[in-house]
Amino acid sequence: MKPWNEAAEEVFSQYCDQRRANLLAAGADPDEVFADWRCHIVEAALRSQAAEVTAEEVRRLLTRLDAEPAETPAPRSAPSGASVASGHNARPLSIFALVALALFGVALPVITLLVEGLSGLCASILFDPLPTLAHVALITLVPLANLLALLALRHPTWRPWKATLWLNGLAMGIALYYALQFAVITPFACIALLYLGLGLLPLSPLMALVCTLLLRRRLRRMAPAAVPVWRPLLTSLAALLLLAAPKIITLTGLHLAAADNAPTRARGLHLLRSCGSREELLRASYVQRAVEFDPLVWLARLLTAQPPPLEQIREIYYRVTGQPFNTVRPPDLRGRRGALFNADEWDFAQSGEQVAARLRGLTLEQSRLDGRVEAAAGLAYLEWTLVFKNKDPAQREARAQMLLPPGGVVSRLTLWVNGEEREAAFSGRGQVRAAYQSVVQRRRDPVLVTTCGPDRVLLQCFPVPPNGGTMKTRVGITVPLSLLANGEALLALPLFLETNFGLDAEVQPAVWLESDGALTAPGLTSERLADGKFALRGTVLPAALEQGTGCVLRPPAPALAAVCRLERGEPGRLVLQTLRPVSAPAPTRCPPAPP
Amino acid sequence: MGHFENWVVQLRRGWLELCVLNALAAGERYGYDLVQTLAAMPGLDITEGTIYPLLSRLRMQGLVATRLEESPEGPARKYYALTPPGRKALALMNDHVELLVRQTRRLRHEGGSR
Repeated sequence: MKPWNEAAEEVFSQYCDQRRANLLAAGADPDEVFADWRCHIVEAALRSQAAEVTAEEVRRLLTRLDAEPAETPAPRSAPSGASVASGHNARPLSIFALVALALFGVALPVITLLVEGLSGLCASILFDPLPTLAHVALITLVPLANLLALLALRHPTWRPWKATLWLNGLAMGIALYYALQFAVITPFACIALLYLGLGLLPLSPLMALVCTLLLRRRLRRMAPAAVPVWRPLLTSLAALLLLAAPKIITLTGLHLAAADNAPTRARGLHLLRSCGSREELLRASYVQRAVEFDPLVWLARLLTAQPPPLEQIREIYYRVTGQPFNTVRPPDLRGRRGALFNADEWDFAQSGEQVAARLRGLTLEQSRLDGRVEAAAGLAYLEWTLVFKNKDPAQREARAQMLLPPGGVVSRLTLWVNGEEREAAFSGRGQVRAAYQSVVQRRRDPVLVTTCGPDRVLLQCFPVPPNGGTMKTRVGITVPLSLLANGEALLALPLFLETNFGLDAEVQPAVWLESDGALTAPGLTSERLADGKFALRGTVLPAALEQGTGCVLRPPAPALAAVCRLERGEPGRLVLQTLRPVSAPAPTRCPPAPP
Repeated sequence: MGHFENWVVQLRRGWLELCVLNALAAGERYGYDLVQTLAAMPGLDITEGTIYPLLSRLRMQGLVATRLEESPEGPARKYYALTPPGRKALALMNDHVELLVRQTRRLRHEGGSR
C-alpha cells in the first residue's frame, strides 16, 4: 500500500472536517464515510504510477469524488435529532476519556493480573481466579482488546476493525464473567475504596467491563462494518464454560451419586468415573464453601441443588477411585500457587476417632522399624519409631490407622517428651480416650493408640509443634509368625492404611531385624552376624509403608513346628498352629447327586 | 440552473437509492466497483463521493450489510450486500416505479389521444 505523506493527510483531514456536518444532516455516519473515501482514494492511487500518495494526488482524487452529501436525502426513519446524537457519539475521544479508559480498561486489569499472578492474594483468601494458564490467557485478552480499541479510535487509518470488534466482544464476555465472580465482594470493595482508599483490585473486572462497553459503543460508530456482539460474546462464554466443565460435571455427578434412587446413583458414579475430575472430587471431599463465586457453578447449583455432605462425598470419592480420599496428596484448596493465609485451616477431626483429611505441612520425616524374631517361640517383637514434622504455623495432631501383622498386638507405646522417653499406660478404650482428650485440651503431649478393627489400630500424637517442629513416638508390636507349608515362617511388617500426613520427600524407612534363623525380604540385605545370629537390614521404598513388606524366616533346625497367638474375643485362650504331614487320598469325581 | 437540471436533481435523490439497491440485487459487490459502476451510469450524473454517504445511510437503516475482506494490496475491501429488509424494500420500490412509469405512459398516451 502506498504511504500517505503528511500534507496528503492534512488535505484529507480538512476535506473531511468540512463535510462532517453535511453528512450528519444526511443521516450518514461521517466516520464510516471518511473511512470509505480514504479506501477509495487508496484504491484509486494504487492504479496510478506515483510512489506515494501526495497532497496533490489527494486533491485530484477528492475533486473527482466531489462528494456533496447534501444531495442525498435525509432518512425518513431517523429524525434529525437522532442523527445529531449519533454524530456526538462519534466525536474523537477527549483526553480525559482517553486517560480514564486507558487507566481502568488497560492498566488496572494488567496490574490486577500481575498482582494476583505473583502473590495469589485472591486465591489465598477467597477463590482462585487464575486456576489454569488458559484462564490467564483469557483475562489477558481484556486489556489487550481495550488497548486495541483505543488505538483504533485514535487512528482513523486503522485497518483491523473486524479483529478489534471481535476482541472487544470477547473481552466483554470475559469481563462480564469475572465481574459476576467478584459480585459478592464488590459492595465491600466499594465501601473500602470510599472510606479507606483500598479495594481497587476487586473492582477491576467491573471497571474493565464498563470500559469495554464504552469502547464498543464508539467502535460501532467508527467501524466500517458491524460485527454482531453476540458471536464473540458467546465464544468467550463458551470458552469459560469449557474450562469450568470438569467442575460442573463433577458437581452434577456428585449430586446424582448421592441420590436416593439406585439407578440414579449408578448413573452418577458412571458420570464421575468417565468424565468427572478427580481433582475436583478430591477438593470437594475436603471443603465445602459457604459461598460459591463462580457464576457457572451457580447455574450448575440451580440444576443440582446443594451438594451432598462431606462424609457422603468422601464415600463417593472412594467408590469412584477405589482409594480413600486421605491416602492421596491433599489438593491446594485455594489455588495451586503458594497460599498466604492457610494458617486458618482448622483440623476438625482433632482428637476424634477418624483419621480424616490430610493436613498440609504435616509429614512423616523418619520411620525406623527395629525388631527381634524368636524362631523357637514363633514370635516377633517390633518397635516402629516414627518422627512427624509440621511445617504449618499451627500445632497439628498426627493420626494414622495402622494395619498390624495378623494376630499382632500393640504391647508398648513410647513418646519422647523434651527428649526423654515416656512410657504409655494401657487401659480400657473409653478411659484412655477420655484421658487423651483431656490432655489434648490442655495442650500437653499425649499419644494414644486404640484398636479400631481386626489387626487395626489408630495412632494419635499431639501436638506436633508448628513451624518445622518434630514429634517422636515408638509403637511396640508383638507379632505371632505365620507358618508356611515348607517349614518356613512369614513375618508381615505393619503398614499405614490411612494417614492425615504425607511422606516427607527425604524419608527413607529403615528396617533392622535380628533373628536366630535366616531372614529374607525383597529390597533388604540379609546377613549373618558374628554371634551366629542373622540380621535383615536396609531401607525400603516409602511406598512400602502403605503397601507392606513381607519377611520370610528360615528357622534353624529343628524346624519350626508350632506357633500360638491370642484368640481374639476370647480372653485367656490361645490358638496353636502346628504343621503335621498327612497323607491324603487322591481326589476323585463326586458321584452324581440322586435325582 | 435551468428547469430541467433542477428537475434532474430532484429525481436523482430517490432514483440513486433505487439504482444502488438494484445494483446489489444480484449479489454482494465490492464498494469501489459499485461506486465506479454507478458513477459511470449515463443519465444518473453523480460523482463517486456522493454514493458513500448513501451507502452509509442504507447500512444504518439496515437495508444493506457490509463485510470486510483483507486485501493483499491495500486496505481491507468492503463488500456490500442486500439484507432481507433491503430486498423487501427494493421489491416495493421497483413495483412502485413500474406503477409510476406505467401510469405516466398511460397519461401520456391518453393525453396524446385527446
